Amino acid sequence: MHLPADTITTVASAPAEATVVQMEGIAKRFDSVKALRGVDFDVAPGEVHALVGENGAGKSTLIKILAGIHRADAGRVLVGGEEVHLHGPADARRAGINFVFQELAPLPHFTVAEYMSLGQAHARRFGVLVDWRAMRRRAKAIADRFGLDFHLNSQMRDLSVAQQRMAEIGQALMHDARLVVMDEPTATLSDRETESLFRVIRELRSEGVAVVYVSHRLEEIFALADRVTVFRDGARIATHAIGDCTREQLVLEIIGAKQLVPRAQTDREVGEVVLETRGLTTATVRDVSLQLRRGEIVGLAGLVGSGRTEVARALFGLDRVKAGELLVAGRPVRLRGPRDAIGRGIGLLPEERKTEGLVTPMCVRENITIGALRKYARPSWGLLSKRRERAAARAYGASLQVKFAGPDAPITSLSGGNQQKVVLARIIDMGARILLLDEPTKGVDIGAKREMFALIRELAADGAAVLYISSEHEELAELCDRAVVMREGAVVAELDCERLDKSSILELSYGRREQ
Amino acid sequence: MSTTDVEAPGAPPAVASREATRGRLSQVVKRVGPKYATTVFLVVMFAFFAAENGKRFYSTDNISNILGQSSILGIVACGLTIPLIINSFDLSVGWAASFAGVLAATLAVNHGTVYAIAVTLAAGIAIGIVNGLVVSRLKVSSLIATLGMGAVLVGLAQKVNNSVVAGLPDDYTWLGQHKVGTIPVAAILMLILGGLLWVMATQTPLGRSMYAIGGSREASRLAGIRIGRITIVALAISGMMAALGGIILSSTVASGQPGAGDSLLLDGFTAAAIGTVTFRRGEYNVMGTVLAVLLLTTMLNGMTMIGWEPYWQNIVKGVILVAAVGASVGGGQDR
Repeated sequence: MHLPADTITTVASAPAEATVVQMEGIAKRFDSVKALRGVDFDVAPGEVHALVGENGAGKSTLIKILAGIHRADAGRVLVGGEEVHLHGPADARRAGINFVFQELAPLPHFTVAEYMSLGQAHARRFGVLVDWRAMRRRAKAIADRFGLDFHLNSQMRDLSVAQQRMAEIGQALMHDARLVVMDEPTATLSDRETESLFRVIRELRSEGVAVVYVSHRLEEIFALADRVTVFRDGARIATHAIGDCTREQLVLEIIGAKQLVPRAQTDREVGEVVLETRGLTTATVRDVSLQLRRGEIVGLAGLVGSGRTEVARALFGLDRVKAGELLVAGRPVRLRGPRDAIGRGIGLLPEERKTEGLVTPMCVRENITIGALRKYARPSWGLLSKRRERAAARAYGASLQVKFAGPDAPITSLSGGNQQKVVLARIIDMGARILLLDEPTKGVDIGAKREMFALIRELAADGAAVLYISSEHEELAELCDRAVVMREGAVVAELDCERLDKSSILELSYGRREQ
Repeated sequence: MSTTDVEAPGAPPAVASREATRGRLSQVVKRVGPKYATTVFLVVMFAFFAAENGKRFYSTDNISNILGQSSILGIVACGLTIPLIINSFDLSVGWAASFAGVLAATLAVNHGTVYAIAVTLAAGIAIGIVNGLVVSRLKVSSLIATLGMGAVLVGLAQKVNNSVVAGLPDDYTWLGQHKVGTIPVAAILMLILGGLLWVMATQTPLGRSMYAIGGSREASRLAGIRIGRITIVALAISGMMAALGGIILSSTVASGQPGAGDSLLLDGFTAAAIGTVTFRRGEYNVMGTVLAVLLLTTMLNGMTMIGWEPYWQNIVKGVILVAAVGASVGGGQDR
């Protein structure tokens, strides 16, 4: 145990021989970020064990270690009391551990039955041919038992997100699981679908299967879990039997010493409207009207899949506008692609840092200058001046407080927060004054988050207009001047400074309160 | 992790002392080995062939011979390296070279050398532009688009001239046969064009954008890089270089022969793949390609000289292609 004893408030642990999975002293770091610092965790048969904590607290890392996706730097994993070495999800499956992950990995052309049968030792005919009829029978039995409501012959791509999620859960249930791990399974489910998922989980529990349940939604945890473990900053803070703790206690443990500070009153000067949409409609969002002023930070809130990213994509010329108007600096524009948007001073910090933000084989300097290379070409022959590029990289490094070994350090050597700042530097280098920031603090540690906030405030004070997309409602409440909340592709509310708080955003996002 | 991270600047002292105890040599080999493997291999091979057949292999004539033999493949391979940088394949280069050889020879006989070369180079560029348009506008995979173009070019070559074109003018054969001192004109051309493409790829905004596209197409698009336009430029360059290779080929053998350039495709890709384990590790690069072409040609020349049967050449080439690609994937980026 690497933690001082007093940080652990309560420990209720099952006896070792009765555990399905026991994890001891698990530690893991990514680059410079300590994701887990010597964590113990266990789950007993027929138990629903909830994991709670902020994004980046270490829950997902722990699960990925259990799945064999990440390898722990220290510690051991015991399944049924015996130490195991897991090298991938297949190993975990063999040990009877099944996973339903946060990100969906659907195979669009597979039928539901085929999808559910993935990774199975298939029933055979004549020893070689897959016995699809037997597979379908098996899938149907599972679907019936747990009340999954879709046709086993429909293709995955024709299912709603929620149905895809259920199919994925169905896939996990096809195996003789001793433990099912679910990472935010209800994030994209409606209330009714959530209810049927709960029914499935209770059914599993009654059959002696253990469930590890990761969720932000405390009401779900109180409705479902037997025990709950709180993570913060990569450490286990506490484990409680659900009857022994209160909601308030959990919230305090999750956010830690950090107080719910009131927003610093902005002394920024908010100027004229620089970006406006009127009834903007694309294939995925409809009738979105919002305004963005100079020097203003506007939050775009809502659940994953509510259309926030799609609004940003439309504003950046990536998704076609089917109806409605987009005005930049008061004039209506049509954006045919990112270049049109860039030319009008719009910059996008994409949600997927690794695939859409960074050019991973390149160094820090190249990643910064790639959007505005002309500036770094010598006038005579048009050849790039690496000296000038390095000077620019150092200048951005200083002003955005990017920590890197040097302008030519590989971009992969930087931590997530610093990588994000490099992409931000690129956008600024491209001359953007309207910043669309899509989940800029995703996967970034808490210290880096603070820095990112300060940076965004500074940029706004400097006259930039910021549209800030985030799933973390606390962040939105802390950073933004006002926020627009989306649900199912449409704007449901706009919260001004006074009404902007975490619970309002949450309730509006989930549709439990109407404006 | 830090021991495999070769690019990490300034290893901490603790690591350095551990290295010392483990043996510096193996560390050095690990560090510089992959980067200079091609060069080292070239030197070793020279030594081997020199030992086997010293005087003849080392003679000025033979060196000049190797350079001459490298030039056609060198020009074509440098060209096809450019689309590879942006992760596009130009599979039409071999057939484009064959087509260009027949076209240029036919035109040279009827209209003179300058006209023939100008029209053929323009045709090469046009082939590349069509490839590029199909890839960028119609969103056809470059593998399929350029393969289809290859079939079209076989047909076009037959339409232009379906037999050997002979009786080429002297100024036409000068390009492939003349030497400045002991160095063939074609080899000089290869080095100049290779140098220009290297500068383009590494020192200009265009080249940097190409490497960015190769590194991440989506991130490049969001950074405002014109992927479509650059794809067209890249394929136009490989088309032009393939046409030039075909012209020199027909000039060297003093005739336009159908199918003469077809084998340049496989050899060119082999060279480009070997090139990825040189200089810019794991990335296609013009310099590496040139070096790889010299290596391949030297090897084939040496093998012939010490009396290995010709069929060995193809077997060895195939093995090297796969080995080089394996090395570039395995020895490249960690993830």
